[in-house]
Amino acid sequence: MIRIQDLSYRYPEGGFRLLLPELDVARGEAVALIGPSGSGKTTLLRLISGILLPEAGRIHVGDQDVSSLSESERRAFRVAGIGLVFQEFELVEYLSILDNVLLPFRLHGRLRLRDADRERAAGTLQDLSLGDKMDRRPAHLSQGERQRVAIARALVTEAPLILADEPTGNLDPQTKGQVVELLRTKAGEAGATLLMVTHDHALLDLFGRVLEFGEEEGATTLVDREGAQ
Amino acid sequence: MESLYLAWRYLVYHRFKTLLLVLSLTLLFFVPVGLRVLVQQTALELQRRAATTPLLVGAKGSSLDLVLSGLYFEGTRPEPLKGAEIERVQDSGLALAIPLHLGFEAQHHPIVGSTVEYLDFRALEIEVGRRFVFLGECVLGAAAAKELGLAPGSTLVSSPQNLFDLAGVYPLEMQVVGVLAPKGTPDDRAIFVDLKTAWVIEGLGHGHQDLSKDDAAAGVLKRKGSQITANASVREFQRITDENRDSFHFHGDRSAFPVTAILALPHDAKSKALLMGRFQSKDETSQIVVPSKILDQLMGTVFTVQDYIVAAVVLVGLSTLATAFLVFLLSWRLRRGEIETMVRIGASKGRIRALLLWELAFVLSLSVLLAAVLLLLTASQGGALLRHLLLT
Repeated sequence: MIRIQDLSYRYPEGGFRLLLPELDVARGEAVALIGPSGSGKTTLLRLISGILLPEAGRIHVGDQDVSSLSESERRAFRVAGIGLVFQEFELVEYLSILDNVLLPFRLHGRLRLRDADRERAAGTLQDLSLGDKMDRRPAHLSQGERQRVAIARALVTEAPLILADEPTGNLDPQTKGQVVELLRTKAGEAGATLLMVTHDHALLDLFGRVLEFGEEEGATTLVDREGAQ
Repeated sequence: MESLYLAWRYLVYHRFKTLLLVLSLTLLFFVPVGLRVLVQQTALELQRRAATTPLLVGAKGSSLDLVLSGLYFEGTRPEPLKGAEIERVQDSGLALAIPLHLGFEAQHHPIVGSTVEYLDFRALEIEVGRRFVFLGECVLGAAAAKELGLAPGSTLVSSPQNLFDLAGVYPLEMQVVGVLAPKGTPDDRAIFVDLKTAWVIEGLGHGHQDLSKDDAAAGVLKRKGSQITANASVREFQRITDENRDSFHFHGDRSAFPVTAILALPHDAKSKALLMGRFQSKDETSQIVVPSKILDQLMGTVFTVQDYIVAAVVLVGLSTLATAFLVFLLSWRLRRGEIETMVRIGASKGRIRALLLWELAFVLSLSVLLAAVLLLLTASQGGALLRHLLLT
């Protein structure tokens, strides 16, 4: 699903450099990315999703060489091919829960919003126990509920790859486990690959694979170890 | 269309901010244009009536008050003229004289004492009923009849000038005999009566019990031949009917009875010039004016003031526009997080621009629409309002 070769990325402000000679993630895998702050986890997600471009190297997601795509092609690839979940949920305050889930369809012409999409979005929210809150605004939901809405938004386009950047960072310990379990289960049901950045080692048991980021002499080191499952 | 939907949701969610912006912009668009429309329309309306009134005679004093009273039945009532001036104009052989007696009201509608020639001169047609013929009869303008809910057969009481002045003029109950067709002029709001009826309202004429009859004996103070002196118990009539009409009479010299103005309709241009010349002497106590000239002077002042106001409004408007633009800019800055999320999810810069422009377009369109509605209202109703403000 994801194949990275000789990846090199240097932050514009200089200093830290992300170097990844090789990384392969298979379709349907659930991978946790851990490591100290500033070790490059979020940067890797941004490179995979095409938000950032590498200095050198190749990133393949499915059949696409992300690093060779133009800006508009990367945008289209992101909309159709990747579901994103953020730490701050990043919901739009003036839209209802249902409209927030349908946002990717409203933001990109490539995804035509059809009745089937609405039904799928409503169904996803139902599955995430938010069926009775579809018309509410995000401000009226708890933190855990908001993150579930963000997960529904990442799942609704049926993207084959889900990238989650510390989705549990703002949640209480009990909700954290529920949200990750939910994310993993839903991604698994959809056959999607899941890459999730986390600082919480207690959650690693839920992943089949863990990539641990480190830093040595100003560059990234990556230790690939299997998870509990 | 999706950007349109998102823009609409944003504006609905921030409805109070949106409403404030829309109202500010509406005023910005409406005020300068509306003011111009209002003033121009009023000027046209005022000048149209003035242009059809060749000459106006009144007591010396403010010519503007004379014109505003004589033509629009509003404004400060000028000093009265002696009734003899009617004969003076008439007997000159140069013009037809139509007297106007103003100053009384019935339920906030001016009572205009004149002759039936006034109705002919203003081409006022009777829609229902007939013209006034007898003392105590009145004809209502279309708007007056509608507002008062009166029709021929009804009665209408003149309002006392001063409620607390017991020695003042008593109200007279008038018989409505006709209603005029609407004309869109101040005549629509007026109540027309014969000049003598106006004098009765002013207390110069009255009717009472026949003192020669036995049932009025208690009211007789003294009899000396045919002269009878009455005491205060004699019953005065507050309503003129077929039965008591003959008892109404005037005391004093009618040539000294007051009229507010005289419409002078000269036979030709030469007559007009000659008639005007007759009112030019130094010792003259009356004045003769050409209403359109007086109105031109008034409107000249109004237009000058209007220009200053419009200039000030445009300056304030520019500042409002700049503030509104700033509000949008700050709002976009505050929404940077939301915009970044959209971009990360996959929105193009064009889509984001479209979304923000739709919001702007919505606010502007709504403001323009509201301003247009206000402008239409101004065009249809504002003239009467401004005329009322100008004249009172």
